[in-house]
Amino acid sequence: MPYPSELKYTAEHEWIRVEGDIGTVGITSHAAEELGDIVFVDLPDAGRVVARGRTFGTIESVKTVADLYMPVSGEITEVNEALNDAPEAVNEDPYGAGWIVKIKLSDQSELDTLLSGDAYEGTL
Amino acid sequence: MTSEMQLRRTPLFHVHVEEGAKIVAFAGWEMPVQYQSIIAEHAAVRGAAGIFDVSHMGRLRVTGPGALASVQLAVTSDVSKLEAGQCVYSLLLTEDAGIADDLFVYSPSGRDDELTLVVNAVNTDKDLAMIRACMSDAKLADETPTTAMIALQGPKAEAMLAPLTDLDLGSLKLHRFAVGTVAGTEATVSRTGYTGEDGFEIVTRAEDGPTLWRALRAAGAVSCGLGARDVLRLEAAYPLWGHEIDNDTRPSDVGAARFCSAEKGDYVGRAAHEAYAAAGPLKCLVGLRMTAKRIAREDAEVRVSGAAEGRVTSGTYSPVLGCGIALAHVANPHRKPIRERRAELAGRAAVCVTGSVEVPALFVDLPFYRRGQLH
Repeated sequence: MPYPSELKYTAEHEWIRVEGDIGTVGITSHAAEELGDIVFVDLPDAGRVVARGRTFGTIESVKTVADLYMPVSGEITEVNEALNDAPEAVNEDPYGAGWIVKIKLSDQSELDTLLSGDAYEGTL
Repeated sequence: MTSEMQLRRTPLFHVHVEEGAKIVAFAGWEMPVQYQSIIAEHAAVRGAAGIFDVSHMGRLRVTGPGALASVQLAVTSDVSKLEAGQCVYSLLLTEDAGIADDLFVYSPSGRDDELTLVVNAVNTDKDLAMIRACMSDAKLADETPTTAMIALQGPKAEAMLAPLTDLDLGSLKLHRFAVGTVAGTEATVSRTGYTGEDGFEIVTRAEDGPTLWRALRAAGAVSCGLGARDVLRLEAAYPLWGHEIDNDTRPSDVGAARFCSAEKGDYVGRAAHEAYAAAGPLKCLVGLRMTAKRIAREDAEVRVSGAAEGRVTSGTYSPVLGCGIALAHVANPHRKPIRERRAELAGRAAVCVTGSVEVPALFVDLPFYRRGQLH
């Protein structure tokens, strides 16, 4: 399965799409598939400052639970409130409607430590 | 389980692979856990009908002049009362009344010389030994490898099955079974199940299993895996061996004393069960409904007013209720009857704790779901 090349990835299965100094963060199609039916996404509050590698939320599927790890440091500017009513969007469209948070990056150089789509695929 | 252990495959294994099921190891077998989605499979069973491969469950046959007396000594219910074509839920106990397994006992003929049993896959070998220890003038055969077993479950189960069989399903009441033809295969059809819905469990020869499965699929049943089965049985609050019931849990801990007959003769564990039940159970199986958007899982600690009261035995998401649900064992220090202990807790707040995660919950009545609740 190809992983979109315009995104950056973590080994913990998050992706980030950067436009200017704002990054949109979600989980990969592989992670969504492994979790199975996602029923709750525990979202952080906008305004929260999160350091790279720290947890910022939790995903519950029918069969298991997973923490969400922030790929970069910054301040959360927006959360995908639509997931409160339709968490299945993460399964159905993980790189689109299933995005989880937007973050204002505090250090663009952290992006260099993230994985390309091909490199992420190599970790699986 | 060790890695050298050879996993067994049911007669339907290749059909599951063809259908793209996700396969997992379960109780020593390679079983389908889901096909497309647990939620979709659950919805099919609550709203129409689904099929499950339950061929991994142990199918045992006891025959000979001493068959009835042998089974009667092994299990807790009074199987002498079974009529031809009737089955009953029962337990196998250890000498000190721990629940070694739960099972169904079937009387094909109503005669004393023939009974069949369906037991949990994980316990089949242990059960064979326990039953053998109770036998005199009887023979015990394990028919698991030569047969397939498919559960057809859901409100439309009867309508889907009727055109495929010569059996009069309308007259086949709960816990009754009959032998007939289904989709051209010779089959035993019982009105039993583990989902909280109406439905049937169908046993056929191993080589006919795929034909029967495909015919039920063609009739509109949705292929369902163990994942959906676990959610469905939890909503219906059916215990699962190794979780709600095990060697350290006695019948009166889980409301199962009613499956232990006081009218029959002796059975393994009877004296210990009756003494324990008379003194009152030391723990109690209860239901919890999560009040936050989290799910308490097995082994979460259950706290009430800050104090540890027990542990979650199974937890999942209930699509019917739209929240996390769990079954749990809680302490019963005053040894109250289970109904009283449940009534005392009902409506009270609890917290289910796993590591640093605390999930708030409420004690609720069981089951979480009753047939027809959605309609």
